[in-house]
Amino acid sequence: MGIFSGFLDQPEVELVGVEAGGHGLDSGQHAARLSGKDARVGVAQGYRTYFIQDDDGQMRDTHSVAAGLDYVGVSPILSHLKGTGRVRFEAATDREVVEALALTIKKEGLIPALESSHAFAQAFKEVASLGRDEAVLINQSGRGDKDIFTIADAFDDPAWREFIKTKAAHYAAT
Amino acid sequence: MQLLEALNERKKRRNILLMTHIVVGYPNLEQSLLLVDAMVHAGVDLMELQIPFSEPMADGPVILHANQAALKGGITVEQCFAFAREVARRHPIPFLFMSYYNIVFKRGIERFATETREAGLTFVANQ
Repeated sequence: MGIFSGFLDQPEVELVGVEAGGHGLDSGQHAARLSGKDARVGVAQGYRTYFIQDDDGQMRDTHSVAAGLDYVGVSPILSHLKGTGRVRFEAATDREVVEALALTIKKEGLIPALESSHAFAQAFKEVASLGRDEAVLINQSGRGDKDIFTIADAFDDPAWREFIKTKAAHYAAT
Repeated sequence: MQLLEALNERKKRRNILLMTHIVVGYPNLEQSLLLVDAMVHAGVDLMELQIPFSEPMADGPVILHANQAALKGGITVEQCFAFAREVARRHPIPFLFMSYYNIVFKRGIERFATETREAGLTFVANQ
């Protein structure tokens, strides 16, 4: 439950969960179980929740730039909180996530994990509509330095590619 | 005939019965039918027909592969029912469905049970 658990009983605090929008909610290549339209209630892998599945009950392929979100199911607790309306669920696309991550690195010197970067992306989308006395807490649940190669691929930075080639050539020669 | 009765009937002729298992649609439906025919002619006493599932977590790598290959080949639950009706019509031995609960849950438990009985099968769920 992470950061939500401390605020569940404080109705003045809105809770927002941000799912993997992948290439977009209409693309069929995402992992948005609660914010998208592709998931249905099912029972698999030992639990009942929303799964991204077809009419036969076969699980469909999912996609996300964040490996930790690239999955067909979702916590039954989160499904329940969606049902009760306590948590609002949104989705951020891969592109929005990578842009949010770049901004966070550049402006704050923080490298959130790609999973956590979904929360940053959604916060950046919504913050402009908030009042000056409203505060936003973003849960950075993981570090992005472990994702450095995935992030580099997503940024598609030629300087990084050149750096890796040079280092690889160096190691190959020694 | 109820499954238990059928088994007791067969046990009058031999002490140990042989049950075999196939994944429907692996490697394809035509071959699945030939496999059932061959097994029945070889003398198996009953057979499990597995309806493929995308997450066969109670199976080992061999059956996992068969499930995935069958699904890649486009097998549907509807086709598995048609297959079951065909083998039950052809052969006098008991056939059982085996699958995972989500397949039953999605079709509707009542509907699945009714269709299974109408196909001439007995159902055994795995998960």
